[in-house]
Amino acid sequence: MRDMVPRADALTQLRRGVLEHCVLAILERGERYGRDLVNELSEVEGMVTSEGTIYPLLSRLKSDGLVETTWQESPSGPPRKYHRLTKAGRSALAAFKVDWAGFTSSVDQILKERTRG
Amino acid sequence: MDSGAAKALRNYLRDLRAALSSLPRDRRDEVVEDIRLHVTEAAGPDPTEAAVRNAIERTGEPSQLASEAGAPPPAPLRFGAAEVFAVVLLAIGGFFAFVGWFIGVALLWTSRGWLTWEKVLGTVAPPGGLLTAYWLMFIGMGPDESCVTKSGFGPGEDVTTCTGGGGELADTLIAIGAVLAFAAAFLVPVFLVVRLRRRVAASRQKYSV
Repeated sequence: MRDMVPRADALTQLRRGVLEHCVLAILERGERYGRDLVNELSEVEGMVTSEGTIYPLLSRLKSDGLVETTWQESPSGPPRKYHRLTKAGRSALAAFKVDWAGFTSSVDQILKERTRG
Repeated sequence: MDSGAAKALRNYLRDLRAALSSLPRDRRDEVVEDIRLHVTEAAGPDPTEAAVRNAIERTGEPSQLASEAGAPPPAPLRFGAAEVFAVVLLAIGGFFAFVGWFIGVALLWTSRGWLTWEKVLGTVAPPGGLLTAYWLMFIGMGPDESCVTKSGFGPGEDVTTCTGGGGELADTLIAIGAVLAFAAAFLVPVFLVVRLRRRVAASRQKYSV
């Protein structure tokens, strides 16, 4: 079975694939700044391998027009950069939710199917 | 933060900037700045060097962050053919109709293997490499004066023009220049080789997985 993707790698790829949409989903609940996002994502095991990976991701989402940023004063130090969804971001998230529901139910179906006859 | 902490942060951001070098500049600057703020905040107020290093480790290796950004990792530092030719041509390229030296300079400056000040040193010490050193030696040993006498303007009206010379001071200066040029023409290429080899070895160590 050497050609199968090792378990750790497969999970990593899955997480990578959904990470940006998870970020969009968290932002749908309200604007966040970088550290907030890292903390919330860390609640899902293995989602965040290192804290810094959120920043290149956010930069990409911003340059794709799905996220916009504002600076806000912070009570405890320098101003913070907050991220929030744009309209395009909301549409992308909505489309993903539909795709995800369809995809996961199909995969569940295949995993649950008992051998025929 | 103390100087050790500041230096650790500076080096980390420099490595990060290099790892992200294939991103467009404004995005790269934005990511580096975001991560600088993140690390600074994670390290806490007035952090020690240890606190900064911990914060850096939690934030992640530059190569890891670059792959997340979708930036392909920059090619590893190598002492390749271009670098070999650069050093050789800097030294002796002048003998190939002088063009060889210019090619050496071009290879030097387009290589990622040397810092800017090292490239400047390679270019000016001495310009033209060994050829310049030989030339200085040659004019230093040449005749002190050459005189030309033109006659025929009339009796007693020979005109003698002499060029060159300048006396012993000029000779001494040229001799010193020649010695320095020779020394530089040999030592600077060796220096460049040593610096690059050290750098290649260090980068292999750091990025080995």
